[in-house]
Amino acid sequence: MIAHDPTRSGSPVPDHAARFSQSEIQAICTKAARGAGLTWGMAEEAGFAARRLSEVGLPGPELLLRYLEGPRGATPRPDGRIWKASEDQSCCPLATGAALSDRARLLDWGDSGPLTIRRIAYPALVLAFVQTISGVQNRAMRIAWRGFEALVGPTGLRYDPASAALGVAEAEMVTLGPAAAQPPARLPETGRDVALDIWRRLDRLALLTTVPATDSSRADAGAQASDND
Amino acid sequence: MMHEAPSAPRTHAQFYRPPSQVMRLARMGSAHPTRLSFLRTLLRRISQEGWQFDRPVWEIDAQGVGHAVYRAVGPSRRYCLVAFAHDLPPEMRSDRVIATAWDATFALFDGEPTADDIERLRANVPLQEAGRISDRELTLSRANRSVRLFDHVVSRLAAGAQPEQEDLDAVGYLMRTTAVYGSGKFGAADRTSIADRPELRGPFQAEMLTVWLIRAFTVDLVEHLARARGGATAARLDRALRRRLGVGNSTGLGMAPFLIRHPALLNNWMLAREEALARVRFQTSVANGAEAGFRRALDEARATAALWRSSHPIQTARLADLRADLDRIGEAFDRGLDPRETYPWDALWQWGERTLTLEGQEQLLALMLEPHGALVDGLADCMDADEAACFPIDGATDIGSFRDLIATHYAWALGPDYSAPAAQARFWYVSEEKLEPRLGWRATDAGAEREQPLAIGRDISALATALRKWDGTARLGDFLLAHPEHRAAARRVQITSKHPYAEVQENLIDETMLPIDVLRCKLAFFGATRFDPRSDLWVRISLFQGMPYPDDFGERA
Repeated sequence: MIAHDPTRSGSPVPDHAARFSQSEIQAICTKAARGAGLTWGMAEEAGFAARRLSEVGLPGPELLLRYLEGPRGATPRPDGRIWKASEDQSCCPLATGAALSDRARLLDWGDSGPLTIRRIAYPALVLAFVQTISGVQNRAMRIAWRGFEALVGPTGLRYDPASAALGVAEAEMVTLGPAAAQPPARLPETGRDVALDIWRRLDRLALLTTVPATDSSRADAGAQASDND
Repeated sequence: MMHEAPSAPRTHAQFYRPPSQVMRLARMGSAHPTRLSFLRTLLRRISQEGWQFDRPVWEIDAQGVGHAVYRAVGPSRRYCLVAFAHDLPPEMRSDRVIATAWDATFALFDGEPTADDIERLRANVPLQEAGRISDRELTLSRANRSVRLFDHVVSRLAAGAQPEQEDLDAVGYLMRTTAVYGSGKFGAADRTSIADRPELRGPFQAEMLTVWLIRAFTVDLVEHLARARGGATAARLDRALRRRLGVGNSTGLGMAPFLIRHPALLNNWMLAREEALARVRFQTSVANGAEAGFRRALDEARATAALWRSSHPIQTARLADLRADLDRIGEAFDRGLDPRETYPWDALWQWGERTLTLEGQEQLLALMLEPHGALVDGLADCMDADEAACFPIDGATDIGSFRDLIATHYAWALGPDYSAPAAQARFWYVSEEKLEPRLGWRATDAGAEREQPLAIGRDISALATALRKWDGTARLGDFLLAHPEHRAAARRVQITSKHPYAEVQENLIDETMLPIDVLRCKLAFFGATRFDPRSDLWVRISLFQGMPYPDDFGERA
């Protein structure tokens, strides 16, 4: 791409891995999710979740892209302590996370132990929503699946960064409940390095929310007189 | 003026104007800057905290090409505007976001840039949207010369003379900015990472500082070019004339969706202003000096209105209204605030509501706040918003209560018949070409299936219809799990229920909707004057006109 290329289409994409601000990450992930067919309200959740993850140092945009490009799972049916989709499908992590977060005030742990989600795609995306639940309930939460465990507080997170299970495409069972210990609070990361390939694929999806220009749309957008005055 | 009934209101809250009155496009499109406007907040802080300014770098050649650095030193941090001056052929000069070259480009640096920082910025800032900046930068912007005024001022100064005041006033600025990006755009620092700094917590403070320093640069640049051309006999711009110059700004539709996308923030701007008006109306006496302060503000408003020009038919009519209203306000004020009134300022306000056009009423609001700084200036600290905190939906609420919220806050949205072509004539979209927000005609333009979620009234109405089929005792969370297509609208209802001034209470896709009304409201909160629509979608304004320059506050030794 050359500088000042007037034929350039779409948002500027650097030619190597680059550091993106959290608001850029939220914006492109929201648009990409919408471009991939989510409703606007769910696309907002996607952007919010990717940013939240990125702010605590997790690969939010990367996870979201894989979710958007892969099988996304189905709407869960909350059934008491056990959440699952229909028999042969895994739960959609955004629908599950949003539904859990919507019910944050209602989640009552009592003596009945943690809540179980059976089969869910990209379980790490749910972490962002657990942070909201933790804030509403004002208590630390524990979320775990095979090979991965995290303690999530309103402003803190503790997990094993070496765990390969963070990015699994599917978990057979996820458990969620109150944690005994608070994770240490941490300041949000100021941005994230995202590989060019990831960003380009998000950008391609995001462009599906835009409308190709026509001569009349170009003409409609500006002043009626010259700017060269 | 009327005397009031015995059952006088007891709290200033009873002087609030309701959202149904305030949040209408015709009124928002008549908004005037007030002392709570963001550039006023910035200048008050600079003055109160004794900020100092200098220009450590000026490496600009006789053709006006090179770079300069302007330094602002506050009590605990410093910020530097890095300015790049270019030699732009006239045929490339466009204010549109689709432009690819500008007369000058800028970044506001967080701290003091090293030589390496400058080189990094030199490689990126002139490219604007096609470049990348970092979290060391707070803003990215560019400006174009006013061709007719810039060259005129340079040649007069080069000849050792001053430009004519009339010529200066006819334009009002040497350069106009065509975009000022902040808040993480193109890699810049996220707002969340700087919002805890007192000097940047208020809305658009980094952007306002950028524009204000750009204003100083525009004057330095004409003086520099005049010296290069005229040598030792070249004049400097007379300080009184200089003060009459602001920075122009040219803005299109892209700014309108911002207010719709940030409902909690919009509420906090509006609420602060309405709270300020209510506090002034609630005064039971006229404070010492307040009448003189009002009169000074009225004189300034008259001077601004006299210089304010527009060839747009709507604005031309409004300007005539405004000038006539300013005369009426002057006459009413000459008769004096009635000391028999329990609330003398409220009596003036009520007279204004009965007598003045919307332009005049909103101007009167600004005038009434002006002499009451001690009473209202603290409200500037309440105009930011924690939007992340407003984001989660409370799905535990029952549908009966939720329906009540819609009935209370969205009666305006439930009225129109959105199946009528005129009620959904427009659609908001983003152009693929330059990611620029635009407004299409649904019947004739392609792309309506890619509509942006800005048709708030229509979407709330659809949400209300879908909710009718649900039992009132069911939970909102269950409804949203079944109907994710209503999730965005449901979120807005919950935000508005806690932020009553969050919504523009109009159908934003109606045939008759005028985006310039939204633009004017936003620009008035910035502190813009001389609102001059260049079409229904495009507007020029002036910032900082008549206000001090950095060297009026204190130059570092």
